[in-house]
Amino acid sequence: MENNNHTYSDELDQLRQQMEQLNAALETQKIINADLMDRVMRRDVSWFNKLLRYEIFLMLPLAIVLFLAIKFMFGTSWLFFAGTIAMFVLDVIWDSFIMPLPSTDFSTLSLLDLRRKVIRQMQQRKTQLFIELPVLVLWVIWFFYELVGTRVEVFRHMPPIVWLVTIMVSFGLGLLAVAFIYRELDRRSRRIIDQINTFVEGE
Amino acid sequence: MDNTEKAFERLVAEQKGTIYSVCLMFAADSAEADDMFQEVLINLWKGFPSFRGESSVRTWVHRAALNTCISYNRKARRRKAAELEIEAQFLAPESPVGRQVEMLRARISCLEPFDRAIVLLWLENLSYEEIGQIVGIPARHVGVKLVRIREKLKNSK
Repeated sequence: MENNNHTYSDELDQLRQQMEQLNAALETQKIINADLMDRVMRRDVSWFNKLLRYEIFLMLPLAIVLFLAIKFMFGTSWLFFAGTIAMFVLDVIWDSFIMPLPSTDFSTLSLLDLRRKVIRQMQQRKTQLFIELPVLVLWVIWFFYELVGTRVEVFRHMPPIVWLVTIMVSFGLGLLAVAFIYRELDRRSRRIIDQINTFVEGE
Repeated sequence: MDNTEKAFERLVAEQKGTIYSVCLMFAADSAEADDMFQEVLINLWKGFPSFRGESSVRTWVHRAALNTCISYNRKARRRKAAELEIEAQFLAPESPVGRQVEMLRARISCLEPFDRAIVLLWLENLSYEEIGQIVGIPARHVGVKLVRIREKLKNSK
């Protein structure tokens, strides 16, 4: 489609002539080759997609088996088992919505819409963190409450300080993992937003 | 190779010059342009199955190229990038094309980045509507912006 909405018989036309010459020169170059196309079409998925697959295909089945085993070995309740798996599934579903920009967005969204989407995703991640962290604290307490009430002697007679330290350590480790993933996602989003902001400053 | 891959290869073969010239205008050097070019192709390939022709192929390609070049992560340049089939001296500073690229860059670099994107799309013969769709502003603003851009270019001479 020609963009002859307006005629600029000056600087812009000179630039266009130069661009046409550049494009014509580039046409003489092959540029693409089989190796390049192969790399493009077989490129690995991003680390976050890997993480998501890992959550769905490894962590979720593992959690089901693990908490079923805990249920039968230690006598925790079915409610606890169902609650834990439901939490896990909800988290995976939520994660899939707040993942970094899918590649398709680069070819379907305008520049300003792209920025809006990244900002929205950052806000959603923050919301997820604020909701999931207290839920996680409650879950850890629930888990240990269930263990204390089990038929296993060793859990029943464990001193409170041991419970406290175990809770703190496991919660701390979980928190570290969450903080790392959150920070990495946030860093990537901020970089894209900053670059687009620099770009649209003149707008 | 299946039909989708063949269709994608055809599309890239037709649009390669356009994509590469956009990359050249945003990259600091030709190595960065090569890397950006691959990144654009990856985003195009991933978006290819969902491309239903609601916009023209050119709009779709330019949108991907522009968005990718602007969001390009300069610190994370891939170590195993494939070599592009471009003659070694083709873009050298002393070659005619190399000089042409530098001249174009020098003229366009006096503009604000957003204006640079608009003028680049206009130079690629895209209509106001297409430019508006790509950068996310109404088509009528594109015309106004181009008039201002022309003034800036004139004053910067």
